[in-house]
Amino acid sequence: MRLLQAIYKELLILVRDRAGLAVLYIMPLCLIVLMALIQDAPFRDYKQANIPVLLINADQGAVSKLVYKGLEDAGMFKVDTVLVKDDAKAQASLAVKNGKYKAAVIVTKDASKHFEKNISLRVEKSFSGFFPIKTQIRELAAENSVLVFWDPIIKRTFKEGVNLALESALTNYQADLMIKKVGEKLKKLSPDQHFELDTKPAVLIAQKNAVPVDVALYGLNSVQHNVPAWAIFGIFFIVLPLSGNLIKEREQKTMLRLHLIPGSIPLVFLGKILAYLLIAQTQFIAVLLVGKFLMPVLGLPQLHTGNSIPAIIITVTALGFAAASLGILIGTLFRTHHQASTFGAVSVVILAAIGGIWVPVFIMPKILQTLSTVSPLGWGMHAFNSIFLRGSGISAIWPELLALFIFSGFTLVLSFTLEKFKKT
Amino acid sequence: MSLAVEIGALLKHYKGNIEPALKGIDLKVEKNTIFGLLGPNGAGKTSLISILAGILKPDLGYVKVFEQSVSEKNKNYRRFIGLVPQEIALYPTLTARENLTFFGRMYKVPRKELDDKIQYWLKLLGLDQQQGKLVQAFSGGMKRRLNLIAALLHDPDLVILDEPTVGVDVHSKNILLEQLLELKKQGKTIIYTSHQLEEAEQICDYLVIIDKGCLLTGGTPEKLLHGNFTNVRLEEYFLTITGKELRD
Repeated sequence: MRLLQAIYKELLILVRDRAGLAVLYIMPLCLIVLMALIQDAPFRDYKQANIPVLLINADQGAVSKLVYKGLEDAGMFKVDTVLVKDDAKAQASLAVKNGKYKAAVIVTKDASKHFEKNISLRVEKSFSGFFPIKTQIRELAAENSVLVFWDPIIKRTFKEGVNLALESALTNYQADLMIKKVGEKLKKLSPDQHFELDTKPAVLIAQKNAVPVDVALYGLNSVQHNVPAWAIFGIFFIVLPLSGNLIKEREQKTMLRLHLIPGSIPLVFLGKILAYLLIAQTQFIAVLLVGKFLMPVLGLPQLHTGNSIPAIIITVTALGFAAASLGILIGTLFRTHHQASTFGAVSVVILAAIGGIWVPVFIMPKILQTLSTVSPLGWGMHAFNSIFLRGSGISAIWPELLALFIFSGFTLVLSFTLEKFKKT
Repeated sequence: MSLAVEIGALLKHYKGNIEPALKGIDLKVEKNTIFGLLGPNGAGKTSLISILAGILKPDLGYVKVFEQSVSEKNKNYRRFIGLVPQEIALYPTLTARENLTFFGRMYKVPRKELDDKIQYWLKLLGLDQQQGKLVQAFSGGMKRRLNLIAALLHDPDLVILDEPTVGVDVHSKNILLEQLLELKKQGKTIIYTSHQLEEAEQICDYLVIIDKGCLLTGGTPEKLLHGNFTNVRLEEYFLTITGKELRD
């Protein structure tokens, strides 16, 4: 069979170019490991961030306990506590300045007593109108009971995280304390000796997963993003050797010989596509193995691949087909290796960038999000996110698959037309 | 007179060039002859054989190969043609046998028949011991011989050779020329371009000289030389009719 002979010829040429073949496999593997390691921190959930925060406790009362609990419960901080008798502002400033802590929180001396006293006075003041004899109640001036020293390089999101933890803890405490004091006051005023203020929540929040829990929503982390992303980039990297291979065929005049053999050009093109498709498939298997087994060894999360192996196979096939077709088009379009490799590399990098390979599409500006819909790499990324993160199968990713196959068909038709045109 | 090739009023003008590459060439090549196409660099020889092989489209005129019209629509004629390009049109990282097997299979030559043919030609051209070697390790002469074999595997009736002896040592050249005569004996028609005027004179049945896209003269070597001049060498005759200025 002529097609098998054409594939065999391509594979022989590929296998004998060991350096080129090694690059095709090693490059995506290096990329996924490096990028997953580099992007691990930015991708991590705040709960895993462990930002060092120093709590300087001069209060040693309820407020300091609540601040500690609030920071701990936020999950994103590693809280070290020092007990001091005074406010120790200099100590806090130094701890942040020398870079050991990203923030230092001081709970000032007697902050709890001051807090509780102020709440009691507010409640007294509020109830004073119920009595015929009015008493003058003066609230204590608000004081800075909690001080925070920031490292200037800390990200705004982390700053907001600390503030949220503190505000949430103190506001809840203030509300609880106020309700408790109001309850006590009402109990005194009520004729019913068993009076209790009902403090049960009036509104409940229910949370549900959009997909069944058993299909495992693992969430987007560095591995779940970078492994499929750079695997797709690796698949599209075959554009460079494939376009170069085609230009070489023209330069060494084997293409000329093939033009004389009726019906051989489509077969040779198809042979190249199928040979490189095999490269793409095996490349992807290597990438998956790294994601499954090497990533956990490196301290990164393990790659989860969803539940649909057929969906993975067909997506890789569609991507390989699209990449090989693009390689054929570039090889047909340009006359020299230099032109083809420059255009090929730049176009793949641009398509990768707008396709959400470097960073997920949803954090890109709106205009780039719109542009991402025209990138074949973006279609692949979308398909893999559906398979790996949402547990989807072929039925959910058919629009992306269709787009990839249409792209391949279009580029191939264009390549054949150009090749025919060039011949004359 | 049965014709292998018939060319009429052939015109080819490349974009960007002032002068046409071919200016209305008329040519007839009889079957079972060795036909020499001579001319200096840029004369139009490669354009002419490229059109003949169907690689290039003429702007005007017609080409017939074994009475079949050479056109985009009709590709039947291609199976009658074996082209040996000027360049070594082989895969350097494949072995001699792998190259021949690939091209032979592309021509749909049955596997068994192909193996026999490859063995026959490799032996005949002294390459059977080197068939497992990568082509990139071959000498210039070995590559030229292999280049010729690749064009013969499908048993074409018309073999077109574009300067097949360029850069070849004497021994390889001798074998190549012997094989052209052998091919003629087998009933094939050979169109052959060369700068090597002596070898053309030696093996060709008919010679034409073209220059600047025009056919200047043609005839058997004897008729061409002795009919026009008395006992001149072909080289002298060639310079007389094409001029002595350099052609690059």
